[in-house]
Amino acid sequence: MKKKRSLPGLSPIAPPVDYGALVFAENDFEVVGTDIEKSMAMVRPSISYWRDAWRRLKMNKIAIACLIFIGIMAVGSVLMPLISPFTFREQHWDEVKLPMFTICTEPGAAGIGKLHIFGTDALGRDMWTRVWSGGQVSLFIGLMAAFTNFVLGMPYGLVSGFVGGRVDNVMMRIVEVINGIPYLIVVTLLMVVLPGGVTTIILAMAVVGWTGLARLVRGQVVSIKEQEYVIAAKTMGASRSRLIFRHIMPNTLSVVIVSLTMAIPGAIFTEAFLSFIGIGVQEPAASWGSLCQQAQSSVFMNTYLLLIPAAFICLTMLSLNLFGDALRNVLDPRMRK
Amino acid sequence: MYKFIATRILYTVLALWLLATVTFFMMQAMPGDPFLKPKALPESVAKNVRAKWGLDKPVVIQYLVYLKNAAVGDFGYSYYYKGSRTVAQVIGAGFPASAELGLRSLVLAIFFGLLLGIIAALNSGKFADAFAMFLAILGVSVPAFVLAYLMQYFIAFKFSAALKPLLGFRLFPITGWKSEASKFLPVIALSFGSMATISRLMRSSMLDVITSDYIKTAKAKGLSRNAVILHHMLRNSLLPIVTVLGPMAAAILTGTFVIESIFGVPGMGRLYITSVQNQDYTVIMGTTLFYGAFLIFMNLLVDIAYGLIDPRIRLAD
Repeated sequence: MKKKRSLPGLSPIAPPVDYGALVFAENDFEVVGTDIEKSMAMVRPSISYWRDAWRRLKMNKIAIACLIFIGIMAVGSVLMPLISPFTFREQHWDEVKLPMFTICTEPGAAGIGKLHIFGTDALGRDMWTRVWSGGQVSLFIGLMAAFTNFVLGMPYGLVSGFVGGRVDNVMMRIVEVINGIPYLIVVTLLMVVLPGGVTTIILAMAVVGWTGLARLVRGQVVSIKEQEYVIAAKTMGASRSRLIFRHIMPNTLSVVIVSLTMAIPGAIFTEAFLSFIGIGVQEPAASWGSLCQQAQSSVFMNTYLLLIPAAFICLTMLSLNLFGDALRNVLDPRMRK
Repeated sequence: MYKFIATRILYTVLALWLLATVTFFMMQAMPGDPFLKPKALPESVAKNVRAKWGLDKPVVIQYLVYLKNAAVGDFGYSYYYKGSRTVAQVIGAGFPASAELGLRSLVLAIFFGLLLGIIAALNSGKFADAFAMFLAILGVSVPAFVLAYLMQYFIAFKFSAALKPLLGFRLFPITGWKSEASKFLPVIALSFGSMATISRLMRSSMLDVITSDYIKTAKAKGLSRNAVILHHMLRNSLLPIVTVLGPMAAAILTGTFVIESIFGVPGMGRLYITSVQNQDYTVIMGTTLFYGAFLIFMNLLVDIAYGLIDPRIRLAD
């Protein structure tokens, strides 16, 4: 049913209608016509998905604060041990367990007269330097864990999801069996057998850590490959590699990025746990977890030795978790208001 | 349904076998030999000892014997504890305290986690929500050992000492596992992380449910607020919680390692750490397999429970 347009002024029969002060005459209106050019023109610049995500992330003050904090931690961990007057392994035998903000008086030390900002530990080592170089180790392990997850889990999930059928079935059953074995138990076992150190920790985490991401990517690929744009590309003769790398992989990235962001605090947690039970990072190297572990012996007397690395872990974890949450909200189109 | 359970059990057995195999070959790959110097034995004696322990047989035979023994829970003798204690005895001595600690924490974590999540979801966007979620994000950001130390220092050490003149006794002992008061802090420290995970999950799952159509229907047909919350929201939002129970059992279990050694609880976790530090390989192998089997079994139970609750899961398989 067509609705008849009844603008009073245009009606051929009706006389001009009086709307109080408003009086329309017949020639008050003219047909504008439809300007195709104009109606199709873009009023606002087109924004890509990533730019839009970044724009919305910037609106989240907490997320930006967390990002800045993580940045400070990362830069500090790289720079602070370099510019500190002390090294992380140098021992000042006359200055054991100094309180915070004590001036170094150790004869013969390179940093004599300089400040031990966080005091010294039970072996007379400068805590400020050790905490930052511990950050180097902890953050590096976190990043590497995310990286190895990506390198192993992403191709596995892509292949499994894309090929499908029997291959997919077998690959996912393998993942299921590996997934059945408790993660920390295997990592602990590997750490007992292999020589301790950062490489071993990363290796141990890589061996069992990738299954989660593989599952996630596979699930994404299975749903994406049935989407119209992929079918269209296929019909137009796109090669398999083009389908995977140009059409499927970029669309899994948002989920992958969130998962990797969350993998970093997870790995730092695991490392702290391993170092805490004494099979993680080996002396004299330090990580936040091993610093907490060393503070164990004098926890009631020199509580700051525990509190400082603990605060570093907690704040970094907090920022990473909050940032990951914000990232998830921003990258998920369903969260758009 | 039977097919679903059967495939789950098959995966469980496979995972157990894989874990046992990995454990065995990693112990084989370890450098060293029990008969190396400085305890060097005459060649003839060494030969007899090897024969006694079956170490002269090919690795494959050793592996099969190991699998057979492991299946019945026989992991041999501890290297470290004198007086020829078997690994099973060592584990048996530590298990009760750990099980009690773990179970108490699990119950506490589930109860308060659900409660916080529900409160947060029902007051979404208000102060209660913000407060509950702040607690939750804190819970996933603070490692258990940090929390345990903080509680030990500030509550068991400082606070109890401050209260002592008033009460006439120390409220919380610093370590130990005897009185109810001594169990209070370890259980809280252990459950905090899991509680946080549950409350976050419960909140988001509740929020999903609240906006769904059947809740509108339930409200529209005039059910009371409590009936809607209890019968329609809770039941449906509990589903995702069941899935995390498996990983959570693992988290609580590994949490016992540090909590037990900090609070001096005579459990398996502390035992595991000391055996790792003492390189007591038979005990490490035994406890690893015990823990692994326990967790794999937990996952099986969770999977089956989930299949029972949600028909979509077992139909998809």
